[in-house]
Amino acid sequence: MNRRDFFRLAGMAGLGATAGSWAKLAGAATAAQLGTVPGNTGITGRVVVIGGGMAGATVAKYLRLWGGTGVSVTLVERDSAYTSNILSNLVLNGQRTITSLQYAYNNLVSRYGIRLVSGEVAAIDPVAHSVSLADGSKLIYDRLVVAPGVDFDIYPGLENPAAQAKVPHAWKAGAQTTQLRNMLLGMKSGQSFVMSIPAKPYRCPPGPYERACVVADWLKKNRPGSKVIVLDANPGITAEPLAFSNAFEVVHKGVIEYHPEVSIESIDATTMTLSTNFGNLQANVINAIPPHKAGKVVRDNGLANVAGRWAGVDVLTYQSTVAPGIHVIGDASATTQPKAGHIANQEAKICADAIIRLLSGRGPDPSPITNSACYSPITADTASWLTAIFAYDPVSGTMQPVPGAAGEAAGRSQGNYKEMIKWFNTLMEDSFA
Amino acid sequence: MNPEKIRLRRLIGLPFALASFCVAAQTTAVPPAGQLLASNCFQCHGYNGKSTIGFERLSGESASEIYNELREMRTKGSPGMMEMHARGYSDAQVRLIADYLSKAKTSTNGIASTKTSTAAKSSRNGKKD
Repeated sequence: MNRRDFFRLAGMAGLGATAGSWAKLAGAATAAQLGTVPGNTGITGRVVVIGGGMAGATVAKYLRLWGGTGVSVTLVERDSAYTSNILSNLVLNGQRTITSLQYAYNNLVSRYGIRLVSGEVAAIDPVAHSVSLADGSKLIYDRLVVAPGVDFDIYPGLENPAAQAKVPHAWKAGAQTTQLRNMLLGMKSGQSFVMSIPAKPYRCPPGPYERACVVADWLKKNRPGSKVIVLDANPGITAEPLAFSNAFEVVHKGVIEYHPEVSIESIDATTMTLSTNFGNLQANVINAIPPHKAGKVVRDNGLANVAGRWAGVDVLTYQSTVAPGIHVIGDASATTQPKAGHIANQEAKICADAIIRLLSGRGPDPSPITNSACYSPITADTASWLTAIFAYDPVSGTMQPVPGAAGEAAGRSQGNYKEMIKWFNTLMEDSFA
Repeated sequence: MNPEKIRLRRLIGLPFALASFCVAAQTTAVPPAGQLLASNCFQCHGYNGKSTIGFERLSGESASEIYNELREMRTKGSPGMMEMHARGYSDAQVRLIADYLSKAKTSTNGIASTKTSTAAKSSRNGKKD
């Protein structure tokens, strides 16, 4: 593809959803198609949801859609809009802007009658069934859903905020994503972009490999002779091994260097040097994605009972295994499912359904199914995909992949890239519209 | 799309206005069978299969059409994403999903039988949504 084609495609991608704007798309769903809250289902209860990401927004919406007006839902969120991690790698090659990935909460409030409280949680009292906010106010709940997503460890050497600022992880979409884009723009031909991938579990298993591809594709065309060096703490490619080994060895051959089993010991942001178990490496740009843990509100309130990092849950209800009445969904929970937005949306629906059943004195659905699906760009106009269906296994009490119902695309294609944009728009509609 | 499907979609697309009626009549708290399973379809096909910006719209298809499409996908060689999804559900689960989606024609979670819809339609005839 020549330079002109690249910009043409980049321009086309810009015609997709912009600024949380499925409503502006031709044929966007009407209120009747999106669903309305039924007046009387005979169920009543007060649910507080902490965190308005993919999981939190979806559980709030479906509690109302399926529970009716008798189920009051309060969503506590500190940001004024959610910034999608999905597609945020396309900010790095200039195909999207961060603003185009932002979704406000006004639909959840106006269409479904969810009460939005903008603020920070100070503490959860599991005995009094209350949540205290930083401003001193208190919310009482019958059921609490905690969905804070992930936090990150800090690499040795980056304790100082000034050092941290030179090495963005950009693994929570936002200012750091735009910063990393600007660092790419600042690179010269023949320079090196070094990224690190933490050991599992981390958010979005194919995401780091996708990033390596998108960055390599951009550098190849715009900063020829530059390299992407991938340092993976895992023993090999953790997701879509077919697509990404082809991408590394064929599509982006000579641009991406992939090294498994490399762990980062420390990072020196002044000399831009990474110390690893294989020795030291200097880079022009470092994009180190640190090991993950559940969001602070989970860890601070005694809910992180798995390795001190993640919330143990019963996957029939997503109720915490240590705190009855408190449910943890999305990336912060420890399950056998991937940490990703699409499956967080489905965990949220199972949690909403279970809470509604529990509020009406029933037991949860004994055989839930979740699905994971995602598309990964390999270049600026091709993508691959990955999917898995998980079913509840009563013997182990876990969600297990259904044999034959999991796999990846046979190859990258332009058709997959177009489907990716459709998938993203409907997934965001299901969660935020 | 075959003419039969188009006809069915037109017929079934009508009673959006029935939502409140159906739900008011349904005071029980039992979640409709198949609702949670079928919600696995909503991420790509829209709420209750009523997508307008994404993949194929499922709302408006009969239960047997949806069931047969999913059955065909289960046996197709070199499976795409949807073919893999179809393999994730038991036959009984596929029937529940097909049944739910074929009946989820109102704008809420109220599941109206064809009979109820017809009766309600005549009772609310002329009233605008």
